[in-house]
Amino acid sequence: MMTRMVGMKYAALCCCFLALAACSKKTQPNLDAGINGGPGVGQAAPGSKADFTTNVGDRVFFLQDQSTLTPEGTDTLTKQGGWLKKYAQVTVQVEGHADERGTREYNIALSARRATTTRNFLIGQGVAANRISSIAYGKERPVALCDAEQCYSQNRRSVTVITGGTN
Amino acid sequence: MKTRLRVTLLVLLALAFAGPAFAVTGTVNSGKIDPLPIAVTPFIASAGAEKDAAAVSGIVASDLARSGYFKPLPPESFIEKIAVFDQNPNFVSWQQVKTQALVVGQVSVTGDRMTVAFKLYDVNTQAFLAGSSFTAPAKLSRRLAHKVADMIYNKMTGFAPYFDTRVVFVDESGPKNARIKKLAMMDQDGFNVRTLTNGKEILLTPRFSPTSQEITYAAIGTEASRVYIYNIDTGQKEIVGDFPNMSFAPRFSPDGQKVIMSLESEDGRNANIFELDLRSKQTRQITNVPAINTAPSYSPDGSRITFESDRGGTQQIYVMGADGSNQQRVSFGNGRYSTPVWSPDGKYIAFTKQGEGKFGIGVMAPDGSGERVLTEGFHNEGPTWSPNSRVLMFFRDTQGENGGSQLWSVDISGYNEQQVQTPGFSSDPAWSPLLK
Amino acid sequence: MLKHSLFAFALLATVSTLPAHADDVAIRMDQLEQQIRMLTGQVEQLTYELKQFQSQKKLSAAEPLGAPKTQQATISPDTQLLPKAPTIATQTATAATLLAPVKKKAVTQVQDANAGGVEAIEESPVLPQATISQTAAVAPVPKALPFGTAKASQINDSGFQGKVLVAAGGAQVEDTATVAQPDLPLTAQPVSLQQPPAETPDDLFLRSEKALLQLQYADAESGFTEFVSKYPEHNLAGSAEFKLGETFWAQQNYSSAAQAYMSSYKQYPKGRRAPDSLLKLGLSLARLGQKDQACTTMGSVDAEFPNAVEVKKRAQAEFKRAGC
Repeated sequence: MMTRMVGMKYAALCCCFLALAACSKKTQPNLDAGINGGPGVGQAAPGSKADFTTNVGDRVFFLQDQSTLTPEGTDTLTKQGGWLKKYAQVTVQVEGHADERGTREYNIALSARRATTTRNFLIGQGVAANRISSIAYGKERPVALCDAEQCYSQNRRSVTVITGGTN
Repeated sequence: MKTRLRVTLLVLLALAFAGPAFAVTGTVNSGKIDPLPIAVTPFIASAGAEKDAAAVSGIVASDLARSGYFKPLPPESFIEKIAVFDQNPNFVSWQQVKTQALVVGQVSVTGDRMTVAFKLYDVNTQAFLAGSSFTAPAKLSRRLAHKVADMIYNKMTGFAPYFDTRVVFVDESGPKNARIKKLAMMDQDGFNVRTLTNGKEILLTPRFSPTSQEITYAAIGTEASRVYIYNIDTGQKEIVGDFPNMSFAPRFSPDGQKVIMSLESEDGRNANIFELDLRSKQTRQITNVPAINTAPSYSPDGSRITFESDRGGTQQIYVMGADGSNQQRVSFGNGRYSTPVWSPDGKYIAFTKQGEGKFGIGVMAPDGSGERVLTEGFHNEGPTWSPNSRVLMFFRDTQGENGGSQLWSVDISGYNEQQVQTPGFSSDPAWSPLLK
Repeated sequence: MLKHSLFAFALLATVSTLPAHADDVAIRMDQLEQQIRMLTGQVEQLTYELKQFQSQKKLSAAEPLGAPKTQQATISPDTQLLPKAPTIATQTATAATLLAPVKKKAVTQVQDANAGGVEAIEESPVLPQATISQTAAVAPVPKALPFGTAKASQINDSGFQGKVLVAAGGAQVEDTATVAQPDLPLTAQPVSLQQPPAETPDDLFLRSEKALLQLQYADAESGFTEFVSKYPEHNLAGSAEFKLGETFWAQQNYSSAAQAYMSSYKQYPKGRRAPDSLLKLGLSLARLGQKDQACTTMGSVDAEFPNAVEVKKRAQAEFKRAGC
């Protein structure tokens, strides 16, 4: 029954994938708004780094071993694209990251995939390609340090970091 | 934290010596090796070399003990005090001590040169088994001791030597979310640790050249990961190749003329394996598959390459000709397989295996048959082979905010798992060939 | 067998959440590549299973067939890799006395250029007695001390012998669909069916087959899937698995078809549909672009089923047609 068992596993995997995609909105806190709080909280000057991080959200999260954007991710990146079009002198670097539950070399490439997906989306939003550089950090720079999925899920991310053009 | 770890290790070592068998320190391998009782007598010292002599005999005993195949007996139990190197020992007294092998040695220092000589006897047959004398600058005294231990190990076990080797690794410091990662090098037993870079870049996956004179590694600075070659003698480093996208996971070819590595694809979604000829600077693409192809490692004869790829959806191990021909998946067990490394004797591929929330280190034949997992736990990763293909070193992550990576080794039989002491957290070990 | 549709559905679900932008191409490329990777993985697994199965079959021709042996997942020390253990009783020792230089030097930054380099060590021979001077560095004593009795443990090998489920004897329901065609005949054969309150296996098979003939693929798929999971030992199980493959084949879902043909061939190697299944597995692999694997598979029909004259003929023709 080997084949069938393998098959079941794939099916289970896909179910998880679907369930995650479907439920993430309800069960997970909205982490996409950046580390400094949700939208509307900040008093940051429009067009500043703080404005971007606080009111737009500087990061998006990925499912395990995935580089496909989640619906939340596309929302955040749509907002990022809008903001970057408004402040057209700003340049950014997209950082790709992976969680710690992978091997080093693979995670470098996986995090590059995430950075690329993010960068491509922003370009698709109309942000000039030469304003967006990208870098892959693999699993070398986690932000959440517990040994549980709640942390790993925060570490599987791409972060849009402003590198110039703000006051 | 560090103090506690050191104490723990001492306790474990003490345990190891206390029992009739070599108790293994790991949690999973309660295996059993019956180590050979051996008497390493305090080496005879020339005038002024007493300290050196004591140190050298201690290192010899320590090397043999760490291999798992020997149990050096405590010098207090010895009846005969060896005072003259060129005199037959009193074998009857050594039989009483219940040792099987006897090592007699001599250390002399002339100017800045040190000479270490030894003889190895079979106590029961009273036969002389081996002997040699090594001379080098006195600052290499540890290496002289390793040479002696190597010859004894080789004579008694039949395995090729491996004590006179180095390990290059990544020295880690600072908090977990902002680790400083420096290139570091040490002797295989954890001594003579030196850091070679300043930690401004995140340094990853260092690997020795076949001459042990150069190290290739990947480093992430303010730009994407780049591959470097570091010259140990000069302290100079240079970027390997001129690639627009990131390069990572480098390794030397067995002849040292090429570096093989992963290059990010132009569209940024994948990575393929490339080979760079260090003399002609010619680059050759070896894989061309829309997937992450990485962690390449040559077979010892240079004719084949093993690597990992997610072309089948998850990380698996593949083997191909050095020109990229005949790419075949060889890992078919349950889980993900990664970081394959071909053994120096060509018989095995060591790997990291992930599954069911665990990370293990294992070995398989190059065709994927005969898989065995040697150790398994929360996180074990990145094996490297001793040059005699007998021992695997790897790093193990401990959980928690204050946790980190440490170096461990395990015998290919699956026995004798033990920590390799380093001053701080450490990862990505790579063993050198036997030093000349 | 729902996995592929599920997977595709998952992909579609993700795709459909995305706004239509210029970057869609990149994103769709990414997803296409993911899909290709999933397929590649399935083909790798299939061909591996096939190879294992056939080589094991060869090895144990006389013995009952078992599931192919998969690799060990457990930790398994191997005493055969150890040198022989000593014979003499051991004596205790303490660590403290042996580990003379346990104190570690702190890490020192390398300053002098040469400190890291490898310097040569000169070696010269030492002989048993200094007075006897000859050239041999190592006395020609028999190799090593008597490292005598290795306590060789059992080789930890979990290879197990599975029970083979063979469809025995004459089927009660005539299995009539023609399989000597790459595609199913489009003309439905009327089968009169009466649904009894409790559906018998035969009814289920007939109902599913009818659905297939009427191109009701969803019904056929669920029917045959139900059959093989409910009645794996029924003498029509192999045929049901094969028909499941045909259902996928008709929809040009060659990856799922290959899986089903593989199951039919592997689980029911003596079933009447086994030769067809092996041939169609080969054809599926060919459709999946795996020419080498396809050729090997089709080429093995002859040896595997020397008595299946019709299927052998067809296999030879396909073998040629595929340019093997």
